[in-house]
Amino acid sequence: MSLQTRLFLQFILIGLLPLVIVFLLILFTTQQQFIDRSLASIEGIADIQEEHLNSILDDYITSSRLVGSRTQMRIELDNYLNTSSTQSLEKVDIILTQAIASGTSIESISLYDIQNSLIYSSDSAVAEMVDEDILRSARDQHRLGKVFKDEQNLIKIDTYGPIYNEQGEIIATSRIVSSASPLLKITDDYTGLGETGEILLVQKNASADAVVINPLRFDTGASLQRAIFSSQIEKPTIVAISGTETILKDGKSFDYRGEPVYAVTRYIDSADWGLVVKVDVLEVDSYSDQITTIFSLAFLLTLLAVFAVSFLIAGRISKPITGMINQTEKIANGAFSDEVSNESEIKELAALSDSINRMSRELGGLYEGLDRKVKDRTRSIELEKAKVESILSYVGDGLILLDAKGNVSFINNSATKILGITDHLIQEDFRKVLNFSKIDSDETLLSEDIDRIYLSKSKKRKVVQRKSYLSLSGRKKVACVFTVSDYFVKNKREGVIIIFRDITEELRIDKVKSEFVSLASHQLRTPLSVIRWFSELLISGDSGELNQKQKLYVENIYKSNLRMLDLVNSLLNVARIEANNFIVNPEYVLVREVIDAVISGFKTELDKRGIAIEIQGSDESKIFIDRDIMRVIIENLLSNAIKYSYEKGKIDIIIEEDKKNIYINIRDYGLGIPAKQQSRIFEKLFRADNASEHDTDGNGLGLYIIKGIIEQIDGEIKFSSKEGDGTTFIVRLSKDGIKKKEGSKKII
Amino acid sequence: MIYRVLVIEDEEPLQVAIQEKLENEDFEVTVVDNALDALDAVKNEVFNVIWLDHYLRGRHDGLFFVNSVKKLGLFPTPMLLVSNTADTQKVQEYKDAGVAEAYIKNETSIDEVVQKLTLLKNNEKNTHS
Repeated sequence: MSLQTRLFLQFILIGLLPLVIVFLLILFTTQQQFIDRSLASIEGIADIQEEHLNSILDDYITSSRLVGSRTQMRIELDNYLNTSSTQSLEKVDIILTQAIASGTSIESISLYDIQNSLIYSSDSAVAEMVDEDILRSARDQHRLGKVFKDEQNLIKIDTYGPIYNEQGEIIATSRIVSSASPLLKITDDYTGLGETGEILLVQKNASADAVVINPLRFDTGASLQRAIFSSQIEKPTIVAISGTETILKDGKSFDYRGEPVYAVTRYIDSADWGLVVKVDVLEVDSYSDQITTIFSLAFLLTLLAVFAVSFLIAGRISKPITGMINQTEKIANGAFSDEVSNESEIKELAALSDSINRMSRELGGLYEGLDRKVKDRTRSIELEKAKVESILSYVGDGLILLDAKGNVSFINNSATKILGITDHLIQEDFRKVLNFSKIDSDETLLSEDIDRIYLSKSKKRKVVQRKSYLSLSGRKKVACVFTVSDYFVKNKREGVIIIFRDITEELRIDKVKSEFVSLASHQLRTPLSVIRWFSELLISGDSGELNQKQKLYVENIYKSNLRMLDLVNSLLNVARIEANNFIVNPEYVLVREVIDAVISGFKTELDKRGIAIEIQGSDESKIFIDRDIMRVIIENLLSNAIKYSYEKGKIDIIIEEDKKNIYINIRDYGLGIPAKQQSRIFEKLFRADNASEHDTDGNGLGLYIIKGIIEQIDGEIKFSSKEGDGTTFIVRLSKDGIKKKEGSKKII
Repeated sequence: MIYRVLVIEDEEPLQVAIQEKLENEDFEVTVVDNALDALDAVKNEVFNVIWLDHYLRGRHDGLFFVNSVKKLGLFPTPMLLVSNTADTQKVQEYKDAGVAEAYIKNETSIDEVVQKLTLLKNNEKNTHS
């Protein structure tokens, strides 16, 4: 539902409900008031007319009094009654004729004696129509008689009154007939009574409960003709004649026509008449209906006005908002140029429109700047990306990028060259498509290492370097050396980089080398063995005794042959160490045991040269090491110490240990190493000058070999020396750090 | 009693040296220089001990010979490996196949090996007498 519709409906709802209530209230009160007013106006008319009637009736009675009080007339009449003097009667006639002439409405005067016999009448036609009951009742006072019709059907009213003689005795009763027109003037006056209003005068009647005196608006012949009975539904007249003055406003009273009427009843005491002023309910209601119609029209107009105003206001409120919505929509779509109208009459909306326009302009500016920056940035990123991609694509090493989940996201050309077709790998889980298998059986499977990297919660970069076979399904295994590392962006692991290089050729060369060493060891040693054994045969006299000289020569051959064997063995050791291809088969070894064994090997020489060896330190020191390696190290160092000691010299061997390491110190007090040459003593084939002079046996390989071995098993060798004072070598070996290692050759 | 030694050695000078030394010590010596001849020899004759080198003439080495002998069920003739190989893995393979002792030629004097054979010979004598 749109804002305008919603506002419109809300306004309507808010406006309509009170409007309806107010209208209904006003309508009902107005209708009621109108009826009340109508009734009040009828009542007013009734009161005024009642007063009029009373005053007219008073006039009639006054006229009767005036006639009866004429002294001359009374004297003459008294005289006539006593004397029957016609003269007196004539005088009475003259006086009464004068009275008729002077009175406004008196039409005739009749006089009756106390026996009710007619004495005199100015109109003999009327004289007979006398009511003797009234005549009798009028002896005490003047009173109204009856309304009646004469021969010409004119409505008359008569008044009766006593006539006294000079002595105050009643002598006669007068009957004055007057025109009823003053009365009828009142009842004919419908002013203020609308179209249906009427005034009814009723008097009592012997044959009926009441009879209508005046001609009626809707029944002009009703005068003295229409009789009304209390049994009839015509209530108001009956109420009036019964002397009740009231307002009949329930709408359930009916008039002579049977119409429902509102009526006001009055009782005219002096004449014993009833007065009814009435108006048709229909007429009053028709006015009230008109009011209802007018109100309804007004209501409809107001409603229309409310609709229109609601519509306009809703429009005024919603239009700028709709405008702003459109504008923000445009802003959202990146169009900042248009402006929304800020001409709303609602201050806040205008201010809001202004704000939106300002925001739009500023956003527009920002957007333009941003757009330019983004474009620049995008271009430099694209350049950078192109650079990186071309580097990655053509770099010699194979490269596979895995995303944060382990799916392959990039493979470079070198990887494709190494592995074969790799197109199908993109977006695949590396666990499914990259098959790793071990080269070194000791190592863990590379795929498991990569999985460990993914499982690690550490934010530190992890690097695994490993030789491993890699194959894609259906393709042959390729031996590679891998560097696998995860990479982070803002502390979040974004993936893993696998860099690898095909080492098939290297492995092949290693194998060839190893085979060469193996072959060389055999081929070189075989002739040496032949020389050795034949020398032995000769020396031992197996083929006859040799003379002294011959024996000396053969012994020299034999010794040189042993040196040659030693040299060959050293060279083979060098080859193995350089290829890192020697067996390590560690076990717990008592350091002292190895040292003792080596010393006993040198026993002949030590005895010959009178060199003493002193050993200090624990007999219990143990180390987890390959026994042969340990032997080679001690043998080399002790051999040097003996070689470079003076005759009858001394050698100290000190074994020390701490928690992790064993330290073997071998100290001689011999030649020492010239300071200048100390830095070179671990070089291959290097011999210090004084050493070469002293002894021609050395081959310059011993220290090179043991340093190589010691470093490859995570140990350390140091020395201190002073020419002439001797040399101390210190070997540090980890007690338990040495690992088993497969290789093809043993160190000899 | 005659104590028969089969010497399997491809190096001619060594064949001569070994043969001379052993005959001086009263062994009856048969010398072959390849694994197939050696197999023929053990199939046809009975030897008290076999002197064996690793590298032999021809395609097959000493290990082939030892394994073939094992397959043929000709053990328990004692065998001594006298070779120039320092490869402990290889040596282990020989020992696994049933070779009793392994000597490295250039670390061992010929006397040492001959003494071992003499020891074996004397032991046999004692058990027979």
